[in-house]
Formats: sequence, C-alpha cells, structure tokens
Amino acid sequence: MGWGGKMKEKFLEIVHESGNLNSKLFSLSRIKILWALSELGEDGATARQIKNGLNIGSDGSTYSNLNALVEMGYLRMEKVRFESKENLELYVITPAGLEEWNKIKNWFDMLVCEGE
Amino acid sequence: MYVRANKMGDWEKAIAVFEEMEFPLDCDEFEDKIIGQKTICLLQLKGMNLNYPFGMYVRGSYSPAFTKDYYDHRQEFKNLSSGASLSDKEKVMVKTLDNLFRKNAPLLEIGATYAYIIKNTNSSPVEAFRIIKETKGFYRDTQIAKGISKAKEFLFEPTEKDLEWLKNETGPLQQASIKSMRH
Repeated sequence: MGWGGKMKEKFLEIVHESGNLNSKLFSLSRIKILWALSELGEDGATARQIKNGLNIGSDGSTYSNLNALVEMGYLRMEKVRFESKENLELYVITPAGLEEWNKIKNWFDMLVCEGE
Repeated sequence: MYVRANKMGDWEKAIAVFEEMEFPLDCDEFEDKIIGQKTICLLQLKGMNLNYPFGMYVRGSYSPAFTKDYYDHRQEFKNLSSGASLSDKEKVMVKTLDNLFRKNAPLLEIGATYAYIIKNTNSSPVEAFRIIKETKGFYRDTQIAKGISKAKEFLFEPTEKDLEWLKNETGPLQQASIKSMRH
C-alpha cells in the first residue's frame, strides 16, 4: 500500500474516532481545565487557582466553563474551608471526566502521528 | 545489580517532619494538604532528602507522588506514627521553616512556588515575581511580599560578601540614628 493509501486509512480512522468524542468539550478553556485537573486526582484545584493558573480570563468565563463540566458529569464541586473563614470552591475530576480526557488525548495523538 | 530508576518518596520521613512540627496532616482537609505539600517542597529545595519529584501544576509547586502517599497512609499521617526520625541538623531545618511560616497556608503556597520557580527554571527573581503575581493574584500584595521574603530567608542564606555589603549600606544609617538619639 502506498503513502496515499495509508493516509486515507488514517483519515477514515480519525474521522471515525471523532464520533466518540463529546464536541461540547472542544473549547480551549475546557480542554485546559480537564488537562490540569487530570493530574491532580482527588486533590483537585480551587476555582481561583484554575482561573489564575490557567489564564482563563474573567470570573464569568471560568465559572461558566466549570459549571458546564460539572453538568456534563466530568467534574464535581465541593466547598472547602480556608484560613478558617472562607469557603472556597474546589473542583475535582470524576472517573467519567478522566475517561473523556483520555479519549481526547488519544485522538490528539492520532492527529499528531498522522502528520508525522 | 538491580538499581531502581525511580526511588520512592520517603513518606515515613515526611511524617517525622510533621511530627517535629506537631502537625497531623488530615488528607480530608484542603488547607492541611497545602501546608504539607509546600513544607516538603521547601525542605527538599533546602537539601533535605525525601525523594519526592515536584513539578509546576495549577496548584503551584506540587508532587502527585507525595499526594498518593498521604492518601495511601492517611492514618499514619493523621496520627503522626511512622517510627522514622530526623537527624539533629534536619530537626533544626524543620524548626527554622516552621518558625518562619508558622503553618500559614497562603505564605507557604506563595513561598514554595516562588522558590521552586527560581531553583528549577531559569527565571530571574523579577520573572518569578511576575509569575507569582499572575498565578497567585488572588492573594493580597502583602501576602505575596511576605511569602517571597520568607522563602528567601529560609533558602538563600547571605554570604560573607552579602553581610559585608549590608554592613556598609546600613552602617551610616545606624550611626546617624545613634547620634540623633544623643540629642
């Protein structure tokens, strides 16, 4: 099989695999949030750490993305105490979120390998 | 001979550190985990051998391997029971850190992240300060200044040359101050 054949085969595979992804996740902010939280397990991160650490933008943009991910079942939110007075919002990735993140990563891998 | 490529973190020694600080780490408490993570990070940067790999994450300097250990050994971390002990030099190091930061989570988060950036990336102090302001901007400016100052005090001991420079810089001011008190 020539180069054209391999390319076509990979093309079909990539298109086919994209059907298994949740297209609502394809925003830069949502991908950055899933990536960052996938490495923190049960410890998670607070909304303000996510907003500032990932350079997401406004509070509104941060919360709308975090809430969307919670609604999709990919994150869970809990309130935690800090400096004995504050109640911070902590976000933790769920098993479903981790699974979805791995699907996205694998798909990106396919894209990168296809280009090499 | 078989040599392990990646040595495991020394969780028993980490507990001995917290025992010295009288700090039972409860992994269900968000603040405890910040204090624990940043304490271990700063001690390693100072040279204590605990074998935990740290990196930069959205939480600042952080070790997933250490996280795994305090979840796997949650009772031991909470009860401060490990049987390990520290050398006298290590005990002094822990006490010095604890006296400086006094288990203050924001100062530890700022200080450990700043120190990690300086020691592990090629960032200048100005650049490291900019990164802290950006990523930890939810803390007050006074907290950021204090956290960085304490990290510097803990990690960067002044050399003879620094002390001599300081003496020359502050000497005239001290003399003037003494003179003014005489009048």
